[in-house]
Amino acid sequence: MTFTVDFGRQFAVEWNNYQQDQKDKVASFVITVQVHGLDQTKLPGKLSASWINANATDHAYALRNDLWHYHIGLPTYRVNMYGPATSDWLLHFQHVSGSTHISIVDMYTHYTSKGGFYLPKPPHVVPVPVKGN
Amino acid sequence: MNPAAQPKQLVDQIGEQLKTIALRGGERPAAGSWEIRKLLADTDRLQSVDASMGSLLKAKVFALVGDRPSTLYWLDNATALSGNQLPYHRMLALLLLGYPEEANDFYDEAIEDRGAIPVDMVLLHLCAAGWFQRASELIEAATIKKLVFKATKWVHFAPRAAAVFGDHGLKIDDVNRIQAEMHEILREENSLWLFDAPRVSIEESFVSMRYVVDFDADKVAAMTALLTDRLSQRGLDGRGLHIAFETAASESAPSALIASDMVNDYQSSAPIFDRERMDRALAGPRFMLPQSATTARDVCAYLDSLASKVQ
Repeated sequence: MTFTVDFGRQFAVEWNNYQQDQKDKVASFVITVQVHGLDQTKLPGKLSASWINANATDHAYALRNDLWHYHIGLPTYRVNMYGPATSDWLLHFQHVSGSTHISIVDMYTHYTSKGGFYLPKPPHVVPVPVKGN
Repeated sequence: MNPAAQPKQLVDQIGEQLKTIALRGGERPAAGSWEIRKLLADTDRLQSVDASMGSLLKAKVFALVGDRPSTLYWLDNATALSGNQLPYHRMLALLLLGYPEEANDFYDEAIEDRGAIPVDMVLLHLCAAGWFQRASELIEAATIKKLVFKATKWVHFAPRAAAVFGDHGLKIDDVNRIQAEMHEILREENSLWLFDAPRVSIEESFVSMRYVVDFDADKVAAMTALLTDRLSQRGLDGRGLHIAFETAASESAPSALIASDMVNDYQSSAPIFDRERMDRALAGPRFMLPQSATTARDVCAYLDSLASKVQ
């Protein structure tokens, strides 16, 4: 296997709340990553570091916590002419650059009710302290 | 991903390939050539495990090809992924592409944020670009800090060249304009200069920099004549710096500077995978998916079981 995968505790706690189609998408992503790593060419949905295009606060938080997300394809995929497909729902995970491991922490819609980009916070993620604090 | 493609191994492999092409000099490799396509395929593989490093090395491949938009695109991508502006890499890439005036814009940031790039290498890069005043400043600053240079040739040469430039009132911007004319001719010929440092000397009252190209003597003489004409037309001649092209015939083997160092500095910088960072990022309880889970059904079964235990 190319990559190893683990799950955050809170994700496991919430697992039973997910619909079967959501569970299937997560499982399919996990199997693909185990075999191929984070290889965009093997994944139907868009894979992205969460600090890309984030605002300044989110950028620092996402980068410090190595947050990534994957467009899971729910409710459906939007096919883009210039890149991988996107969807409303995202699967959030942590991945330290250069490692062959991901840790799945949350699944949520792309945007919050206030229109901002959703990033997993505690208890889904145990945040890395800001330097100096 | 190819199971054999481990990040460090891939970076080394790509680095060696880049170095080989760069040291060969002569005509820039075509983007569609087999060797460049192979390099890009390798950087694609690297990107799947280290997107930031893959993007940075891809930028270096495109810089070697002479494809400026693609170089800048992948540098931007590497910046977005790493959260670092990578000013030194931007400066070096623009120098490699032959845009010294734009490279100059990144100098202040680059020198402040040069990461793990050794001071010796910085000195070589500055001298290769004709930035002798800056090289002298670097030497002075390093001397105060009691840093020892290995490139003693440049430690001796740069201050003398800077003094000559000073006598002529030649500023960095003037040097860059002269260098830009030289690079323009190289672009017209679709040629790389051999990635050795230029040959340098101080002749009476001017600094001579000769860039070695892989053409015959007649062609090289014609390129130098064209450069002299253009510098004259723009009022940039006779200013304490004389630049010419030269054939490789009379010189010893290249000592590998800019392009190969673009790779070496990267290889010698921070480790590819930071275990401590991973431990910090993944603090808190985690549940590892067993390796026996090889199908989607196995994953769901594992999580169903896990969920019932952690409720």
